[in-house]
Amino acid sequence: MSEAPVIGVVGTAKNTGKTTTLSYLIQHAERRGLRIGITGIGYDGEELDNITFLPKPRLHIPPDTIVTTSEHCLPISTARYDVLERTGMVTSLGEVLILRITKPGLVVVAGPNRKSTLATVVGKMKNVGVDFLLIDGSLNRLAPMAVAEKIIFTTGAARNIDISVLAEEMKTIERAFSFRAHVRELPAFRSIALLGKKMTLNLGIISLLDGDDASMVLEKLTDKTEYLYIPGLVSASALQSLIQRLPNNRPQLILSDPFTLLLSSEPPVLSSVLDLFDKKQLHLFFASKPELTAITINPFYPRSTGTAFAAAFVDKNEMLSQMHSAIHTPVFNVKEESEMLFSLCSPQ
Amino acid sequence: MAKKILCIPLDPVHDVGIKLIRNQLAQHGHETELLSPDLPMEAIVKKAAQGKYDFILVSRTLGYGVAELLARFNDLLDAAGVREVSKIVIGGKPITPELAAELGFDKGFGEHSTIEEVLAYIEGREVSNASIGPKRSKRDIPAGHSYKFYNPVVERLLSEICDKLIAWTSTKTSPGIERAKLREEILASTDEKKRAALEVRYLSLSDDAIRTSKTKNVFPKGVRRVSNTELDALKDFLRRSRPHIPSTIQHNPDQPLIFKFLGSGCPLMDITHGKICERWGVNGFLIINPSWEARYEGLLDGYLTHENDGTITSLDNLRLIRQSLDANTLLTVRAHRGLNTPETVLLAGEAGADLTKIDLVYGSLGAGTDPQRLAVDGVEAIRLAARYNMPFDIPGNDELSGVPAWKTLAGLLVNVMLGVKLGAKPILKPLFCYGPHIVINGQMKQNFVDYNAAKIFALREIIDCPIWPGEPIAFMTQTEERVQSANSTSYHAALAATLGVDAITIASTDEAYSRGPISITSRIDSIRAVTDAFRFMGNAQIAPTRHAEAFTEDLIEQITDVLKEVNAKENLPQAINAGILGSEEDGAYPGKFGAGSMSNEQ
Repeated sequence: MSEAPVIGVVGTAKNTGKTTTLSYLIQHAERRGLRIGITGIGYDGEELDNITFLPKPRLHIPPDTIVTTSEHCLPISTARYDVLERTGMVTSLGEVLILRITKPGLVVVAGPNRKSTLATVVGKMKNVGVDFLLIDGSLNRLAPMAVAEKIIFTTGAARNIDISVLAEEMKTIERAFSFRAHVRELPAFRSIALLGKKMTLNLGIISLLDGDDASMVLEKLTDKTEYLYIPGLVSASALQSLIQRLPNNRPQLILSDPFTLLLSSEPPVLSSVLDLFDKKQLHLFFASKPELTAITINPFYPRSTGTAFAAAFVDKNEMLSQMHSAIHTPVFNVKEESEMLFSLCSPQ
Repeated sequence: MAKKILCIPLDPVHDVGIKLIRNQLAQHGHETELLSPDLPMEAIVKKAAQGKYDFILVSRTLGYGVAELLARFNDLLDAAGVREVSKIVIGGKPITPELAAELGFDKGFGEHSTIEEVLAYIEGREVSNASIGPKRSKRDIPAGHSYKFYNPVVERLLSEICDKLIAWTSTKTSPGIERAKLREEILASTDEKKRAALEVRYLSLSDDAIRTSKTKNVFPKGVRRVSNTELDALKDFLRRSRPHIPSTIQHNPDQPLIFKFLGSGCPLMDITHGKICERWGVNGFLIINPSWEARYEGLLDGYLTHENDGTITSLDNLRLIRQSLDANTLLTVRAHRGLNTPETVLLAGEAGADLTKIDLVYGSLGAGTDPQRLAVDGVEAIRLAARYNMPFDIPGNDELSGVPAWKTLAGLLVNVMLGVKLGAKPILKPLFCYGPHIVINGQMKQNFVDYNAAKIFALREIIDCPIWPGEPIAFMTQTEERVQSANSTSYHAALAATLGVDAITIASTDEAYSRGPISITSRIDSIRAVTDAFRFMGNAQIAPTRHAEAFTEDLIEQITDVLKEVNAKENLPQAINAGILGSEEDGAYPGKFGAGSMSNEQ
């Protein structure tokens, strides 16, 4: 087993620079002679964006890289490869294959796109032996990226052309990643559970989605409940309804990972939910917690011209400076500072 | 085994598709539930999580921000554990497998997916080929037509005109006929030496330009050989072209076949356009040759491309096009104008074309060939068409020069009778157009329906012969504006369908204004417009007004009068030269190419 760090590149929206960020990481890793593993949860690397029809960068994959992609992506890839394993998993683009690149070239990387299957292929790629494992995100998708250990968020004008909104949003994302991982052993079953000393109560549902779910939790809650464990999805409204009716300071909450918080609502609402946690002095933990390693910014956005999209840009320096003052996480303009970004991700 | 399926219309308006699919799934014994379209995401996720469905089908049209919305939807299902139990499937017009993957779905179905594909996926089986899309089939256009005359006066006149013509031509030959015979011997010969000797004789009957091309490899301006690299690229393109489910233009099998022109100058571009048109349901193509080819004695050999209108009708070019197109696509090769008419028919037959195009009158009046020469060559060409069992179509495009419809139709009928007498299968091609004579004389003042319909009614009262309006339909009603052009084509197609004709030729929407090769998008414009017109009309009828009846009567009378005048002349070429089938005043000029080139047969 290798101790390769698993890096996930997550976008806040399409066209925020996921593929560009990934390309730089590949270049630096190749320069240092690291064996790269790469998979993706979408269909990145196409010549034209599927929706806006603007050109997108494609991933150039160095030799000896381990790539996980779907079978139908192979005819349009220019690299040569050996098939190491046919996984039996299927995406809309065919069976998922694990390849070793024998001759460098352009590859469309489209692997499994849900959390559990992504975790399986990450395990398989680690077993093949890689030094540096990359997961390419897709659009604004979050849930599967909980498999990664280090997260790079890409954001930019394509998400919102108002820089102050982007900075505020990233502040909330940083806040969602600020809670600690939980050390207590969690139940083997995947349901909401009330945990206390020598007691485990299985509530039979996975997610906390509305006021009814919150009421059910509150009904079962006793003085003995130390932890409320929610392994699935939480909605902001259900969380609000629950927290408002909880006593101060207990129980402590354990959620699956920071991404479930980000999925609960858009950042402004999430920010007020997190305020509520503070107000009630409730402690929040995650069952598994990737680290928020860095943020990259992209001033580009596709501006609609009515019948098509054209490339447009916001002020990149202004963007960097507002980000730096809003958050503590390192922020990079990836086209100029990729070296520093890589040093934060590399295994050494 | 029956599957449990949740159908979610994420779109309040466009939920017809998912309801249709739900119906089909239910009919195949699956347990289906349909959510109302206005539920909040959390409620949908809760329902999806509680139901333990095998499949969750989502329909949504794409718009700004919808990709992110759908990606988030998958995230919510993933985080809620639903994706461990259910496969999440998206359906919608713009959905491709790539887009489905990008949005995070397990599977996507788009505009060209069939219900059978959805069922096969749900049931975990292979798609049954029997039900993938419509099958292409080849219709025999003359089948079902008896060539029986209903108008004995017209029949007698035509019979006398054609008997005189056949007798007049029987003692004559031309360099065109001799070359066709030599070509046939060359193709049949396996002896190198003999073939070389035949080639020398062929060249002795050809013009300088053709001789220079063959002996010195110097081609007429704008012509060059297609390179092997280009041929390989074509093969690669054909090999890599994705299999597709072809569309059908016809809404019911009785509606007319749809033909389009190919004649970009480049056989490779023709094939590319042809393959795309096939996918959109076009039934056949007419290969149009360059106008200079008609003026030279002799044809070029090899794979040739030409930087101007018209594709060179060499045997290699014709074979390449024939073999690249679907076996069920009909192919017509234009032969009738110029000095190579019999040989072109021979090559078309050898290349496996389905039809050819011969018109002794239009070839003289509208295309520049001497009437006597074309009469001699045309009779031989029709005999060859009969030998290769290729029906031949007779385009009435003289009308576009300003010739009145009745003169043009009289000319078409002479060709038909000639074909019947020589054992061939002629096809009438009256124009469906706003011809110059009509513009001036006002037959279409009220509408475009009556006079076009009257032409068909008049011909049908005379003979039971296949009718294929052309060429293309809607001529002179189209403008530079693509939408208008597509509309106008579709209205004429609707009228053609209502009249129950056998086929129609349609133009691209930029046919008259492209200032170069026409564009593939413009071709698809008119195909789609006609498909919609056929769907709209179904088996309903357009009712012409009572004027159509009066026009029909007039036309039959006028046609009869013209044929009487033709029959009063010694032979057809004399009648053509005398302007009976179209005069200089009308705008028709008997051609000069090949004048005096005939000789008495040895």
